[in-house]
Formats: sequence, C-alpha cells, structure tokens
Amino acid sequence: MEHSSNNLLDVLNLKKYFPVQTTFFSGSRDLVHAVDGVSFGIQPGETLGLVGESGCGKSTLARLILRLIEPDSGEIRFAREDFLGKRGEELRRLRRKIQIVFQDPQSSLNPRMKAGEIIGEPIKIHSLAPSRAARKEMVLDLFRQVGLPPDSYSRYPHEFSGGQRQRIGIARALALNPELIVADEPVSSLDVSIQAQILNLFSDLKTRKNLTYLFISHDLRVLSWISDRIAVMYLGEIVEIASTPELVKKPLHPYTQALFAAVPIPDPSTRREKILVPGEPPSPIRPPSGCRFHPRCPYAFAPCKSTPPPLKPVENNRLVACYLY
Amino acid sequence: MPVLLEVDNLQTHFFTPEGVIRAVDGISFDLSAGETLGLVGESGSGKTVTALSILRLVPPPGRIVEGKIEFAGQDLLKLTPSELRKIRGNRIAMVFQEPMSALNPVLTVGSQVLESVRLHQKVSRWEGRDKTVELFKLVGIPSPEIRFKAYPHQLSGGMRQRVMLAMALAGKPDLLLADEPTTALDVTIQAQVLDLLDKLKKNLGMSVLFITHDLGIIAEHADRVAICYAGKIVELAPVRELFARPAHPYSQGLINSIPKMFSGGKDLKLSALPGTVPDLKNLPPGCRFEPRCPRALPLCRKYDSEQKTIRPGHLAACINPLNQ
Repeated sequence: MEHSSNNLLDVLNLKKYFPVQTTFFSGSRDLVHAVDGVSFGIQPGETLGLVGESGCGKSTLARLILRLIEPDSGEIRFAREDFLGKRGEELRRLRRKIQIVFQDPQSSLNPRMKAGEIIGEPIKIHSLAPSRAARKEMVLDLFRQVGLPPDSYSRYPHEFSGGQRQRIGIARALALNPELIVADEPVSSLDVSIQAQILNLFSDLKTRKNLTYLFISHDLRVLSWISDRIAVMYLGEIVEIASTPELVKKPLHPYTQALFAAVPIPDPSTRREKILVPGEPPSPIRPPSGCRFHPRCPYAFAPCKSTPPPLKPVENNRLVACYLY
Repeated sequence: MPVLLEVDNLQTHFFTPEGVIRAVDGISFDLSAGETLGLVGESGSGKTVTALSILRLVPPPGRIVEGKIEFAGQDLLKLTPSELRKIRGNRIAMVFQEPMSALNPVLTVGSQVLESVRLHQKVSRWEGRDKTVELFKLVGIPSPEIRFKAYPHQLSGGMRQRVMLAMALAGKPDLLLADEPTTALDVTIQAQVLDLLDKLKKNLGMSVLFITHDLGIIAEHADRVAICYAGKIVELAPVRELFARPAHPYSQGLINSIPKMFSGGKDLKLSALPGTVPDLKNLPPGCRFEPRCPRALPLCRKYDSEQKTIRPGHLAACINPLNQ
C-alpha cells in the first residue's frame, strides 16, 4: 500500500509458490500458491491479527517476513529499509528486530538445552552481553518478565508444562529486544485457562516494551481480543482488512462473514440460526479462477468467476476484495 | 425422558511404575434418551477416560477400579465379553478426535464402513454396500458412490470425520460418544460437522455424550453440561443455568478465560486462572482446585467437598459456591 508510510513493516505484493511433483516420471511440476500477492502494513505499536484456516498461507507468510524462507517476488520493508535486499552484517542487524514465537513450544525448543541456555543463545550469538555473568543476569531478567521462576534456568524443556514452555519461547523472542514479534498460533496448543494467561502476558509485554505484533491465529475470539486490526486470508490472498471493532460489528467479505458465523459463542442465550458456508477450501495447487472464494460463496455472480476482485478501500480505512462493495 | 445411561462413582486408575494415576476419580452423571450432555474440561481432566470406560476400552495399565455404568438397565461392568460386543459399536458408538488415526490407511473408506454395517446388521455384501452408500448420504458426503472407493488419505479432514460418523451410525446407536470430534477441523468445517451432528441427533433420536474443551460448542449444542477437573465432575447443570449462574469457581474461571468477541469495549485483561492442573499422581489432600481457587477457604485445604444440589438439577462440588 502506502510506500511513504510510517509503518514499521510493509509487505508489498509478496508471492511464494512451492513446487510439488505430481507424477514421478513425467516430472511435471505443479505449484502450490501458498502466498499469492499479499500486501499490508503494520504501524509501530500496533497488533495486526491474521486469521485464516489451515493451508491459507498464514504460516508461510510468517516465515517469509522472518526471511526463514525467501519469497519469489514482492517487497518487505522494515522501518522503511528494504529487508529483502540486506545481506551479511546488515541483515543480522535487522533480524534482531524481528523475532518469532511458534505454535508448538514442544518442538521449537531444543530438548537437550536447558531453559537458561535456550534464552541465552541469541544473546550470545549477537554478543549483547559483555560477560557470562552479565548474560545470566539478562536471562534471569527475561524469566522475571515472562513470569518464570528463577530456578527455571537449569531445567530442561520437558520439565515444564505447556504454558511454561510457551513462556520460554516468548522469553527467547524477547532476548534481542525486538521491535516486531511475529506470533504464529502461539496459544493454539494450550488449554483454555493457560491460553488466557499467555494472552495476558502478550498484552502486558506489548505495553511494557512498546512492541508491535503480527499475531496469527485461526481463532477469531483470540484475535478479536488482542488485535487492533485484523486481516483475513483465504487461499494465499488477503480478502479483507479492517479495524477489529469494525470487522466484528460488520464483516464485509462473505468469507469473513462465514468465519464469524462459525465461531461458537459461549453464551447459550444467543443461540442463533447459523448461515453455514458449504464445501471446503479448494486446493491451493489449482486455485479457482476469479475470486478464489466464488465456488463456496452464496452471493457469487458472473464477474466473480472470471476476474479476481482487487483489494480496494471501502468506507474508512477498510479494505475488501469483493465485487459486492 | 427416561434415563439411558447412568454412571455412578466411576473410578478408573492407571497403575504406572511411577505411581497410581487417578484419571477418573469418582465420576457420576446420567444421560436421558435424546439428550446431549457436554463433558467439558482441560487436558488431563478425565473426559476421554470416562468415555473409554463406558465402552470398557480403557488401555492397560488403566483399570476400572470401582463404580457402576448402567446402560438401558444393564450394568456394563458386569457383562461378559460377548454380551458387551453386542452393545459396543452397536447401541453405543464412538467417534474420535483424529479420524486419520482411527481409519485403516490401506483399506477404502467404503469397505471399512461396510465392515461395520455387516457386523451389526445381517445383510449380504450387496445390501451392505447400498446401506453404506446410504449412510454416506446421511452424513453429507458428496458423490457417495465415488467416495466409497476412496482411501482415507484422499479425503479431507472434514470428510474423514463424516466417514467416522457413518461408521458410528452403522449400528443405529442409542448413544454416541463424541470425543472432541471437531477439534482437528477448521472452523467453517467444524460448523458444518456440528450442524450435521445436531440434525442426526434430532432425526435418529440419539443421546450424545459430547466431550470437548470448548465451552462455545457446549453453549450452542448441549442440553446439560458437566465440568470436569482433575478426574472429578465439579459442576453439573443445564447449559443456560451454568453460563448464567455458575456455582463452582473453576467453571466461572473457564467461562471468563474465553475472550469475548461481542463485548463491545475491549477488556484490558482476561481473567485467567492462575497456576496449572495438579499432578494426578500427587493430588492435594483437600479440594483439587484449592491451589488455584480465588474463593478458597482454610477448610478447602483439608476437606474435599462432596457434590451437592445448588438448585434443582444443578450440582456443584464446592463449599463456597458462587451465585447462591
């Protein structure tokens, strides 16, 4: 979008296709359109929520922003610097400012390292501490910030509960004093009561440390609580972006409406007739022509089948990719 | 409605080298014909072991130590294996959370459902095939004749769960044990499967024991709800009553931990329960929830509170309940 913005992160027309071999002998290659022309911006101090169902490309997008994988085309600007063009020392410097928290703390923590070493490692790699003792002090301070007891230092990941492991993952992400944290389904594998604790921690840390979040989840209840704005992704594309109150009050894109209708509301007094979207998301290998949602959309009409609708502004500052608006 | 299932003081323990895990530690509830009872709790609360105990499928080193499970007038715990087989999968069926691991990957889904049809109904292969296709139609599988020949990996998660449902319905069960049947599914697909379950329940007059960690699903689909914590039911109430006037602090804690979407103004903090579930091998002497409870009294540390009636049809195990 806006090039000369004050955004902390700008993603412009980002694309990533993964090759898949269909038949062994022919070697003909199909492409999974994982992220297919995604653009958005995040302002400093903002939490942008990204919602979508499995296979919509949200985790690929997270990995692209971290440059854990390289995009096929598009731009990523971090604090107005061209992140994709950076190499060597320059890249290391920028990377410190963008950190990630993964969904499954079980598989994202090395089982043979103690919690203190896991959190101390980035500090060591980026030589942020003058001495070993100073590093330990920094790690203990991070433990305090995420609510882990100091004796966690010499314990191994398996000795912690799921919620505590996620706290270790968060402390590791905080170790380098980042500006942007990409959180990829960070509470999905946790029990409800623990989920609330971790969400509160994310929210506290944000105010205390002036962080910016890209918060990825399939759960609209979680995102509506934590995000300032929400972007909705379907089959590799963003179909709608709006401020959270506006989106919750009035979802515009038929897919967003379907997502909201599908959320179970924990209030039996509001039992409602649900409008369910039929069918399942099609394969991202051969996405439908035109609007990718048209085969499931109750409002689809002629142009939806042929030309993809652009993501365009409607009302105040919201964007939607749908011919109805 | 007559009572279909009555579970009384069920105790299922696991005898591990590290000690005895009291996964289910005195659970009692009943289920009427045509009713949906939600069994809610976090991991390790004993919900799945309760369902497995009803079918007497508790894997070793687990064992049902005590209790009574009365289904349609018979005590399931006293049946011989052959008597039990007539009930299991036939009058009581179960669907699991992960359909991929419950289906055989090297057999077509049609043949697997057919097997279960022929096990429960005396029909020829051809009749059985027709019945299977009919079941596929019933659970909303598109082009059922073609899907009959599909292998599990060729189907999506939602379709696999529909196949599991078809298999469960093959014996025309009176009671369906649904263990987190939609947890592995995407939200829009989850909504479809829940809608299907509601319709099937209504049309076939089944009772459903719905196990889930999601109070939202319970609010929308259950008649009554039992909240489990560390192997016990801490509260049992009609759904509306539980959400309007929860009595047990744990129930209230669970309800409040869910981010509210339509609250309008943004809550700054979720009211989270502190701490974690206790170790089942090493339970606190008094109330199991006492260490995390905001309303705990000194007495709670000494005595485990018995279930008592708060209002007609509303039970809670708490000596200092809310909303009295």
